[in-house]
Amino acid sequence: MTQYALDDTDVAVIIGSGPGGATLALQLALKGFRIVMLEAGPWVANEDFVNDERAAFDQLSWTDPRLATGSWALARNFPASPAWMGKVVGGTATFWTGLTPRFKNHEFRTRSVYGEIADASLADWPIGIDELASYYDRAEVAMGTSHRQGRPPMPANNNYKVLANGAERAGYRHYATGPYATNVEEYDGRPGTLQDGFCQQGDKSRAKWSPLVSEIPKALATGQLELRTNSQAVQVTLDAGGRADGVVYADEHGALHRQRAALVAVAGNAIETPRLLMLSGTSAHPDGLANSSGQLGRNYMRHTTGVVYAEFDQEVHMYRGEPMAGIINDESRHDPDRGFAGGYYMEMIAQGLPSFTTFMEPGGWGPDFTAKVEAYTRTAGIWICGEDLPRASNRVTLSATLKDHLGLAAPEVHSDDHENDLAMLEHAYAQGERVFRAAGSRRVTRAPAMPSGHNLGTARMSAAASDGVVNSYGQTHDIPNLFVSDGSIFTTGAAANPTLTIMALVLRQAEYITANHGSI
Amino acid sequence: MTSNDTLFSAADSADLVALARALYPHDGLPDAPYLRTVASIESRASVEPALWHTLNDGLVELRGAADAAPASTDAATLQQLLRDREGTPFFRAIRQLTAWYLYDDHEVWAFVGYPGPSFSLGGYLHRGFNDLAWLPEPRIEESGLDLPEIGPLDSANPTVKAAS
Ligand SMILES: Cc1cc2nc3c(=O)[nH]c(=O)nc-3n(C[C@H](O)[C@H](O)[C@H](O)COP(=O)(O)OP(=O)(O)OC[C@H]3O[C@@H](n4cnc5c(N)ncnc54)[C@H](O)[C@@H]3O)c2cc1C
Repeated sequence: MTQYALDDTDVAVIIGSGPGGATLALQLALKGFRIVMLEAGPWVANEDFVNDERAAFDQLSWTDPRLATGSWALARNFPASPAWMGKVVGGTATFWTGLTPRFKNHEFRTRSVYGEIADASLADWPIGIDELASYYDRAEVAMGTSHRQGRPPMPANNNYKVLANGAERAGYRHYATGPYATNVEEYDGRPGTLQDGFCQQGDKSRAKWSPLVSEIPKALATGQLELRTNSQAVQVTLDAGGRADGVVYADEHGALHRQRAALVAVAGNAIETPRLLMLSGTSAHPDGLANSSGQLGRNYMRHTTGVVYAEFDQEVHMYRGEPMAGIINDESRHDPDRGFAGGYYMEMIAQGLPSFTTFMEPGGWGPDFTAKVEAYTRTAGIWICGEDLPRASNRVTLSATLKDHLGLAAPEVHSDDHENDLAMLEHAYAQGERVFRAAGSRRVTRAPAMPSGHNLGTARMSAAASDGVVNSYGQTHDIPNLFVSDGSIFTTGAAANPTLTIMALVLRQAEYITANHGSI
Repeated sequence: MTSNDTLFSAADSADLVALARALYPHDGLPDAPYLRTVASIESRASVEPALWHTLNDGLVELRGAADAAPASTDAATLQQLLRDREGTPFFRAIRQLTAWYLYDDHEVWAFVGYPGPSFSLGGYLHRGFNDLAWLPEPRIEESGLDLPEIGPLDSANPTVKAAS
């Protein structure tokens, strides 16, 4: 692997190797940039992934201290673990599921379309669907997502047969097995899916797209990228003129190093990204870097979500096959007649027994609970994924008390449900139950949110520097050579799962950096 | 049950097993998984002083409140005793740890019908990922219809509109 010196001042430093950071790294590498990527986690090869939910969680997840506060269910049920993120090369996408819907046109303009909503900080994005369309195309090609760009549809597994038949009988029409970023057949040097069921534990077969099997090896092959694993950025440093000039990071032994940089891009996901910028605060920037707007860390979003499980008389075996290759779109529209703004998707979900028993009824016990456990092989699931409203008071801050292994302030994640979120969730639970009852279920269970896999909004994109942290290219308003390259930059969350949009935004960002690097 | 018998007596272990079964009763599931679950809890408590304290304290309190040792008390009575203690640190610890270890036990997996790892067996591509036959084969392609982005579903879908 190519190696750069710590005092090479002409490198671009990218923090985080998930879809955001890895996409930027590959695009810049192809254009000849010299790149150092810092990834807090290790390289775990596909063959070393384990088909075991608990062991895989420990192997791949970010388990540093965190604290959830606020009225959201996660602060009650999983206060130390409000979000589920990766700490590994490839980021959270090493164990994502892979649904890739695009945003809808109006989801970039929610302040205009939904109107003023009390206690929410809705805003229009400074870009729209037209500017992103070609990047969406490229992102779908990069991921090889099913149903798109000539890729075939995923076949139906058992869980999908229940979902789709229930949807059809409930009067829904807009259901399918994707778009789903896993190979049905060989593509991009990777095999078709074995329908092995384990992907939230890392996909051993490489059929599922992640940066680990695509962008990272491709970027390394250019000879332009040095990937430093087990390297956690702890501070972005500024020169006297207020430009980013380096990144201090801790290696696996906790020893600090300083890599000089001409450009810094932060892609640590929406909790670690604002945390790092806050930790980088100086006497000149006491509230953190790029925070002249005061918006850094605010407007944290994580989708309105919950799960509906349903028992049937006959076998389902939801654990077989691709866990999330099924989606119902009918409720993803904005239809205020339903009593709330925004929309939601109903997505198929499958879990192994350890996760099922942890999330189906957090804290549950006794004979009713064990009866549901014994129905496991006859159970199907729907995961709700809806737009939640941004609120300035839902935010990531530095804890005054909790510290990580380096002695740095841990992040606190505060979130109060908006009444719009609760109205949407109630509607979604009821519709999910209708779908399953239509398919013949006799008993349905509403489960609360699982630790958030979608984390958004904490370095919000805005046209004016006073309204947000970054511009439409993810360039911070305050520091021209400091970029954010992850879902932190979402102005609002839309109903769609976020990763395709993260990648599309970063593809656009990469072009901007390439075209303007002489002047930024 | 544990080599560290100064921490947990045989009677302690027997009571914890009875509580584990009362918390997560599965008729027909042998004692072995419950025994392993309690052994795991005890070995964890033997290196976590706060957990040991919580468990010991809770057991002593429960025995004082019950007419007999948990090991010789029927499940329904134990469940009532547990329900009365739902807010206590003892209940929270024992419930959480019992669920954690019990549902990670492969004998329990087999009992429930969860087979665990599949990659080494070639996944389910040729082993029934789509063998459900009690429902018709559904469409997998996306619908050819337009989904309105704003406003109600079209009139082709009156059912949904009516039920919403
Ligand atoms: C179970 C699960 C299922 C999901 N399914 C879907 C889905 O179906 N569709 C979808 O669109 N999305 C899905 N997601 C979400 C998806 O995984 C994320 O949107 C995506 O991974 C975000 O990419 P990212 O690059 O912004 O961040 P991440 O993928 O989280 O990567 C961030 C990386 O940065 C590293 N990092 C953080 N801080 C530092 C630091 N200070 N120094 C160095 N490195 C650092 C982390 O270790 C991590 O590797 C799912 C998530 C989960 C948990």
